[in-house]
Amino acid sequence: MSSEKVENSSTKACYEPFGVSGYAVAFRLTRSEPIDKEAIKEMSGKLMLRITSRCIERGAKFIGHIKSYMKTKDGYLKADTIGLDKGAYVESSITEPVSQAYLVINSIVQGIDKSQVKIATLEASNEVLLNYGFNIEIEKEHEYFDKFDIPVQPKGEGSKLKQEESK
Amino acid sequence: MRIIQIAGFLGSGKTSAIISLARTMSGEFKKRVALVVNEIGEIPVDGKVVEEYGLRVKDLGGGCICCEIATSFTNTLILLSQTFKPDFVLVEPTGVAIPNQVKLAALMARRDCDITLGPAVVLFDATRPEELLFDDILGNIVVRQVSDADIIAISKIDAVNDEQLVDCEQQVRKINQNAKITRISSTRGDGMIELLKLITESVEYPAYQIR
Repeated sequence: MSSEKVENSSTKACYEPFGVSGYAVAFRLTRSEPIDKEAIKEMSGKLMLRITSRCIERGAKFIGHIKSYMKTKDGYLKADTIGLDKGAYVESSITEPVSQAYLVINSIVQGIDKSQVKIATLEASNEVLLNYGFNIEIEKEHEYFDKFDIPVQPKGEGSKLKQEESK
Repeated sequence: MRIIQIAGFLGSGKTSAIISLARTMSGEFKKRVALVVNEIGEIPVDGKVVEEYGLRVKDLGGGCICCEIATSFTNTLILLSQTFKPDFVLVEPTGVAIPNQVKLAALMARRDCDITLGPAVVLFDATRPEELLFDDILGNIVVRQVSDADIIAISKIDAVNDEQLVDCEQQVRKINQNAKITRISSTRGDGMIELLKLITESVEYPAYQIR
């Protein structure tokens, strides 16, 4: 699978007028002693709901989704929520205790600035993950929507179409 | 190559639905299926989850395929038609994408490859109809998505009762009088075969040019 990096575009995005903000972060998690698979599921569900709470405390009016994907040496886990009243959904194929993991979180809400989504996500992550004994290292992060910084396509690709469109 | 989009607002269950549909199409239906998953952020979550089910995915990140990276989406379709040659391309747009604009972006590929437009399936979350439709701001996106649908799939039906389902259907019917309405639960599998039959019918679902 490949994810396409893209260049700046002057095209206005469909969602810009709606005040939707997002933040995505990828963590490397390490722990001195492996933790049980059931505890990992519990932690992931709590994390989704804690991020939701933090976003709401900061003024979010609508939770688009808070979702995560975790990869460990023997499986994966996905967790998500669309609101505190809906609870968190967790699905896991992890069978072994976990001491290292790659975790991606994606928070999309409406009503607060992207910087607040970032703070809410990181605060909640620190709180929950540290509480479960994990050391956290941010590998990559990305705020988006209100000041969008990427779009379009890799160099060279699509140039023919672009030329045709401009005629 | 038939292009089918599984659209719908954030959290409506698109990824679960596309996994379920793709597995059945490539398994029981013996069709060649390509998946295109679009996430606005540059750190993919949905694409990774789909891959865990043994499905091959083209993950388009960094913008919305209905507007910002429409050309990139078009090029992906052309490339797929030239290399993988699928019978069906299942497209999961972002939760804020406008279905008709995704169709228009797909149509640009017609210059370079033979495609037909399948339906825009719009998932509507049965657990939060009021939240979605009557939000002062976001309600506009949801209404636009529902009005653009060729098929409205009321999702998460395992989490609500019959009365709530009927209410949901009545609410979306007021917005779109023409779409087929169906009920699904990706987790339980309810309604998925019926939905598959609908989306694999040889019917063209054109985009409209002027609203």
